Formats: sequence, C-alpha cells, structure tokens
Amino acid sequence: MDFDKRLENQIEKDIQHLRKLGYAQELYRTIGGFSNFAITFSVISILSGLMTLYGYGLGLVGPFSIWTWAIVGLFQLMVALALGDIASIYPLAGGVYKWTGRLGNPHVGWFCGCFSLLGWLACTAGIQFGMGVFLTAYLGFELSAPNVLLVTAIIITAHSIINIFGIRLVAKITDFSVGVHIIGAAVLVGLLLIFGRNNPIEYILHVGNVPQGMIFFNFVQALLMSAWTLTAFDASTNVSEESINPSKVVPWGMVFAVVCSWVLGSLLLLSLNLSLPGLKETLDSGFPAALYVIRTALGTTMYKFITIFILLAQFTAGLSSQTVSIRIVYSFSRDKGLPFSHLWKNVSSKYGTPVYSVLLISGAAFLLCVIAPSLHLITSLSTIGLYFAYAITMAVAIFERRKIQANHGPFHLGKFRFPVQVISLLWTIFITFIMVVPPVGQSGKIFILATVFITFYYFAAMRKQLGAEFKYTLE
Amino acid sequence: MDNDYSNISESSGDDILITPKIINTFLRNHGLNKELRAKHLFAFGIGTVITGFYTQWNLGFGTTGPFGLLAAMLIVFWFYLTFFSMLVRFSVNYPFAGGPYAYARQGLGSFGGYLAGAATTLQFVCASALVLIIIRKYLSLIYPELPGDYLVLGIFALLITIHITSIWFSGIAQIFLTGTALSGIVLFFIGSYDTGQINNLMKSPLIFDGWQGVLTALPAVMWFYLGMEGITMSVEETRKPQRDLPLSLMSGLGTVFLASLGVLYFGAVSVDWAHLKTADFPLSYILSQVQRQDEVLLATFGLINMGAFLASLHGLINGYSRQVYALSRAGYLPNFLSRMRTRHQTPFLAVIVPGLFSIAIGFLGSFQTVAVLTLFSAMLMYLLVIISYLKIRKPKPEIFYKRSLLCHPFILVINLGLLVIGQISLIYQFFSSAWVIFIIYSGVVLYYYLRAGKNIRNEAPEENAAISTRNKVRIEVK
Repeated sequence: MDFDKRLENQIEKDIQHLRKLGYAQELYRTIGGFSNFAITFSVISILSGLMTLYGYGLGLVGPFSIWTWAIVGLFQLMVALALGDIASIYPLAGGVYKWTGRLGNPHVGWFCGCFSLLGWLACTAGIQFGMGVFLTAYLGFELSAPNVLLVTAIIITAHSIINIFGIRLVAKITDFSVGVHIIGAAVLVGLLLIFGRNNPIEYILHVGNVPQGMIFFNFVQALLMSAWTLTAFDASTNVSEESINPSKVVPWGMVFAVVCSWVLGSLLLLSLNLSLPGLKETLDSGFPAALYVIRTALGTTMYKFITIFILLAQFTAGLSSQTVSIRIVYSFSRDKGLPFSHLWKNVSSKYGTPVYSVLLISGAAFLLCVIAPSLHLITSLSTIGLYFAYAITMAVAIFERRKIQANHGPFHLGKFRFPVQVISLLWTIFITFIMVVPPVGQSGKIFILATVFITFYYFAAMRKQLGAEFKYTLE
Repeated sequence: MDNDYSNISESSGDDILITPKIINTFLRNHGLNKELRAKHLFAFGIGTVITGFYTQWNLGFGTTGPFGLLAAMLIVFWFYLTFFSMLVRFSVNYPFAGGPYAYARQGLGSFGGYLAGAATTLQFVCASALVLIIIRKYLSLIYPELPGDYLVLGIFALLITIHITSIWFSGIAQIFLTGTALSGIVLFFIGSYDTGQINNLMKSPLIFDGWQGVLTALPAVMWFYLGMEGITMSVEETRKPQRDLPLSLMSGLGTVFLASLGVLYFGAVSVDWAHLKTADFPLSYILSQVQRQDEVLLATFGLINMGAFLASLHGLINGYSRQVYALSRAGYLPNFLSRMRTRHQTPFLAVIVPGLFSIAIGFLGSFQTVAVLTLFSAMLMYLLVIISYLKIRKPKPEIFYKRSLLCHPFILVINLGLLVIGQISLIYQFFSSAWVIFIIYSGVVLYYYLRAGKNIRNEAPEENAAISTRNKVRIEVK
C-alpha cells in the first residue's frame, strides 16, 4: 500500500514538473527504471553493433581493435554523464533537440535535431542492413548485393508492420531484448572462452600485417567499430514523458546501459579474439568475421544455435532504433520542424500510430541501403550524425552552464560538470572530424550534402518560423 | 468484474457474520504481493513441466510404439485442453491462491475442497521429490566426480531462498530458467535436424498392443503437462488475473503441445526408437548418438538439461507453497504455515516446511512409488474439480456464461471416464505401490475429521466465496 502511495505521489510530482516546462501530461507514465535501461541497452546492442563491424576492425588492426572499445567506452561514459546531467533538468520527449532548444535557442535546437535525426535514421538502416548480411549468410544464400538488399527489405517491412499495427508489442519486445542480449552474450562468451580458445591473452596486442607507420592511422579508422556501437544512448530520453521519476531514471538508465554494454562488449571482443582461428583465414572466408569465428570455434550446431540469439538481438535493436527515429520525426514535425510536417505528425485514428512517419523512416532507411550498400558507409554516416548532435549539445551546455548549475536535477555532476563537458565536447568533435575527413570518412560527401540541404532549408523556411513560434525558457 | 465475488454486494440472508471489515482486515494480514505478469506465469507454467521433455516421455515408446505414442499425446492434449478451458473460467471467477481447493470447495463443500487441496499438495510435493531423484540420477551419470547429493541439497536450498526473497525475483529467476530449458529444446531440434532419417522410424513396428498399449502410454505422456495447472494458484499475485491467467495457461498449453510433437518426431527419426525406450535421458541420449564428435554441443546440452530440472523444481515449489498457504489460511492446516515475511509478503514457512518433506521423500522414497502417488493425486484433483464444475454449472450460469464446446458436460463426463480408467490402470499396473496411496489418503481423511474440519476460518477468501454462493450473499470488499 505504501509503495502504491509513493508511486502515485511521484507520478503527480512528474506531472507538475512537466507542466512547469510548458507541456500537459498526454501520455501514460508507466515506464520504470528497468525499462529505461532496457531501451538504451537494446539500442546500443553489442550483439548487433560489435558483431556486425567486428570484421571491419579486424581488417584494419587485427585483434588490437579491442582497444578501440576500451577508449570509446571511457569517453562515451563521459558523454553519457554529461547528457544525463541535462536530461535530469529536461525530462522531455525529443532528447537532444529539445535540450539544446531550451538551453540555447530554437535555431540551434533545430540544427541539433536535424543531425540527430540523420544519425538515428542511418543507425536504424545500419542495424537493419547488418542483420540483412547476417541473415543472408545464416540462411545459406550467396552474400551478393541483391540478396542482402532483398533480405534487408523484408526486415524493414517486418519492423514497420510492428510499429504501425503493434505499438504495444514494441515495449514487450524491448524488455525481451535485454534478456536476449544478456543471455546471448553470456552464453557466447562462456562457450568461446571454455571451448573455443585458440590464442594466448597476448594475442589482443597483435595488429596483423599492418605496416608500422600505418598502425595509428588504421587504429583511428577502426574506432568506427566501437564508436558506432556505443552510441545512441539518448534513446531513453525519448520516453521521458512516459517514465516514472524521469529526472532520475533516465540519466541513470543511460549511464548503466553504457557501463553494462562496455563490460559485456569487452568480454565479447576478448572471447572472439582469443578464439580467432587465424587472421588471414577469417578475413578471406567470405563470411561475416564474427560468425566465422563462432562456427570454427564451436562447431556447426552451436553456431546455428548461438546465431539465433544474435539475429534476435539485431532484430530487436533495429526495431527499437526505428521506434526512436519515428518518435523524433513525430516530435519534430509536431513543432513544424520538417517539410510536410502536417503529414508526418498525422496519427492514425485506427492504429494510434504515426503511420506516415513510419513509412518515411522505413523508405529513407531502405533508400540509404540502396545508395550506400556498404555497412561501414552507413554506420559512419550514423556516427557522424549522432556525434555531431552530441557535440552541439555539449557546446551549448558549456555555454549555458550557469543555467544548468542553477536548475540542476537530482542527477547532477556538481563540480565535475565543466571538465566532463569539455572532455565530451572534444571527444565528439574528434569522432565527427575523423568520420568526415577522407579517407576515413567515406560518407563525408553524403554528410556534407545533407548539411547543405539542412542549411538551405533553414534559411528558406525555418528561420522566421523558429524566431516566431519557439519561445521557452527554463525560468 | 461483475463476476468477481470479492467486489460485489447483494444480501438476502440475515445470518452473515463475516462483514467486509473482517474480510479487509484478514486480507491485509494475509494478502500476497501482486507482482506477476503473463510472462512470469507462462514461465512458471512451462518451467514446471519442462522436465517431462528431458526424461520419462520416451517410456511410452516401449508400451505402444511411435504412432501409439502420438495417439496417446493427442488424447492427453485433448484432455488438458478441455480441463484448462474449465480452469480458466474457474480462475477468473474465483481468483484465490487455493486454486483447485477453491474450485472444488464451491461444488463439493469443505471436505471436497480439502481433499482437492490435499491432493494438489501431495502432487506438487511428490513431483518435487521426483525431480530431486531425477537430478541425483542425472548428476551421478553425467558428472560422477561431483558430490551429487550435497549439490542437490544446495540447489534446493538456493531455489527455496530465491522463492522466499520475493515473488518478483522468483518470477525473474523462473523466466531465466525456463528460457534456458526452452533453448535446450531448440538446441536439440537443431542438433538432430540434419541427422534424422525416416528409415529409423521403420526399423521396428510403428504401433503395437492396440488401444491397451495407447492407454498404458498415457501416464508417460502426462509428464508433458502435469503441474502446469499450478499457475492458477498464483492468481492472487497476478496484476491482471482476468487477462494474464487465461493467456498464459492457454499459450503455455499450445507451446508444450507443439514442442512435444517436435520432440516425438525428432526422437523417433534420429535413432532407432526401440533403443530409446530404455534411455533415462532421451534427448541427451539422442544427441550423444547423432553428434557424438561435437563435444561443445554435448557439454552445453548437459548444462542446459540441469537448467530444465531447476526450472521444474522452482515451478513446483511455487505450486505446493501456494496450496499449503491457502489451506493454512483457511484453517485446514496449522496457522503457522501461512505466516508471511513482513517486507515482501512471501509465505516463507509454506515454502520451507513442505520442501523438507520433498527432500525426505526424494532421498528415502523409490521413484516408482513416488511417481504413482504423484499421478494418482493429480488425477484425483482433476476428478474433484470437474465434478465440482458440473455441480455448480447449473446454479451459477452467469459465472460460466460462455457456452463453450470444450466445457460441455458431455465432454467433461468423457474426461471423468478417462480419469477413472487412468486411476484404475495406474493401480493395476503398479499394484505394489497402491498401499502407499491407501495409507496416505487414509491419513488425509482422518486428519480432516480429527482436526482440519474443526478449524475452518470462514473469513478466508475461498471459504467466504463458497459461503456467499451457498447463501446467495454478495459481500463488497474495497
């Protein structure tokens, strides 16, 4: 009884806080701390991100690529802490777009939202395309572009159907996803370490046949593997208005998800590297590298069994990512921030979902897979978008740090705020930079094209509107 | 909710001594935490019966052959489909921890309810003991170097501790254990998929001993489903019982049916099934025959097999503890058994005390005798619940408003006939164990007349609902 009473009081406080921020409570507050963690954890999805790009990192610096995970993990934890500091003040759906708009001004918020949306869209496409590659290989089809695109199209369709007709199912699948990730990763790591070990622990210092002068350069390129996986942890901020005590559970959900993913991901990479049958043999196999290692180390039956977990994890991660992208589009178009906003914000009275937003995200994701049918192209575009949005958020947060200090929420960094924000800003700029500048940033052209379009659209349609309609301050 | 007895008011009797205030006070002191959802119930249901996939079912090959076994499986599935359809109606109208005791109490009075409750308790306590015996045997076969008996005791103590900690934690643990056990079935399918040959099916006669063989195989097939009804006893701990209980019970039944067909098919085509009938652990045996070079697979499957046994044990602990708790709360068993932990509201003594009986039976009893007692108790409980249903169906048409074919009296009478034949067949087959049934049930009846029947507490929800029904009284509880 006491627990129920406390819960009711907390929900009442959350509604009051939302009212102070200028919004009415329209959604049901049912999401607790675990579900918040679950959403972020399943979008980070080590079983889809790391497994998909494992071969990419291996090709550049061999098993030494594991150290990219250590570095990225450390800095991303800083970013998660810095974002959590802001999320605690603004528990609003829309994430970084809403934060920067309120902390800074609507113009910078809109730009930040555009890059975040670009990043999320490419992130969704990357997970779906990665699963397309794995599923094609698992089903025994040739890994040709038409085959992979066909399988990817089926996956995108399945995600879209769930998002249109079964939005209640999405929450259940997200909770299920945590179990799949933890059990799948634990079983895989355990089996590889017990039965599949081929190499000594020193093997993780091996860089393959990379010439001495190229190691640093290749290592920087290999950062993509880890940087793309350990990102998108602002996913849970999009359900802030449906969470109970979001000022506390959303930031902690992000931080826990990053730490758990960091630990599990380290073990996963370690076990894969120690079970590697041979670097050249793996890279030349014509098969996704992670799957090849598993098949060689554990035998065909266990490979077929374990890959079911990996595919399930990829499917649920793709679904969560698509759901977040749809929410961003919906939230953005509700504020008339996109062309044809009236269309995207339209919620179907029959299904209660923004059907056109679903179709927009699905169509755009598939189009991206068609025009850039290479995993690291899509994933690097996603990394650029997401990290650049974080960089804008960090810059605004540093500029407006007094505002944060004066209004801090229950989760705050105190005297560590400034150094953490500065480190996060430098880190996100660094990652954006290396992903844009050739030859690492092969998707730089797409990014620059998108930036030109966004800027053009801003001056053509948004500048006046943003100045007139968006007036909100924290005070 | 118009069918919920705990929420309605209409009185035509002046002889009511149980006021809403008394009931509210009673429930405050004896209420369980509502923490479970459909996924937890599904896990408890499937987990309880999952051991039946890893052992025992293959004995049916020896009595009737693969086609006969299939026929037995269809009969048992049909029985459980109709029985669970009836349980669903019961459980949403009488959402009490007593489960079968509460249902039988409605139509058969306090003695009938008590007998059904005692049979349920014996079924779950003895089934736990059976799983303990199976684990001891399994450990001695697969891991002979380990101190099996101590390990079994340690595992049981761990599961009891999990159960006492909180029902939420227990539900999470059960999801994990059941997930492990189900993934073992998937692993078995994958491991035997490529190696199956239809020739194996034809090596020996596909059916023999006619209908007698099929009937003899029924007890072996019952292990696939026996105990799944235990989730009806978690109804007081379920957040949305009206929705979650029917959903989990029927989806669990469907899952078990499909998985059992798969296990039968792959079992019959992977090896010469005539050899399978004597295997203690058929799935492990098949994989060790068809994938003998794959050490990783066999070692992993060995561990998963253990996970399945733990899932069953944990589910059975949940079953017996809720039944003992309900019987104690209503005064049939000593009151101390319904004492709860103050923080998480778990009936800790109802978990521990019957658990000690399970351990004693598991270490002292013979497998055959305990198995016969379990099956007999289960069938007796089914019998009493069906009779109760038939008795109260006419006077309470508004409760069982759905004119479902599955719950038609004609179908239920056939089920009763099947159960009576099953009881007779069981005693006939294992006549040497019948004396145990006689002694134990004599003790159960004697206890009722000496103590249990004299201490009934009418404020317990099961009793209260039955009295209200009899007196046509409805009591509002806020």
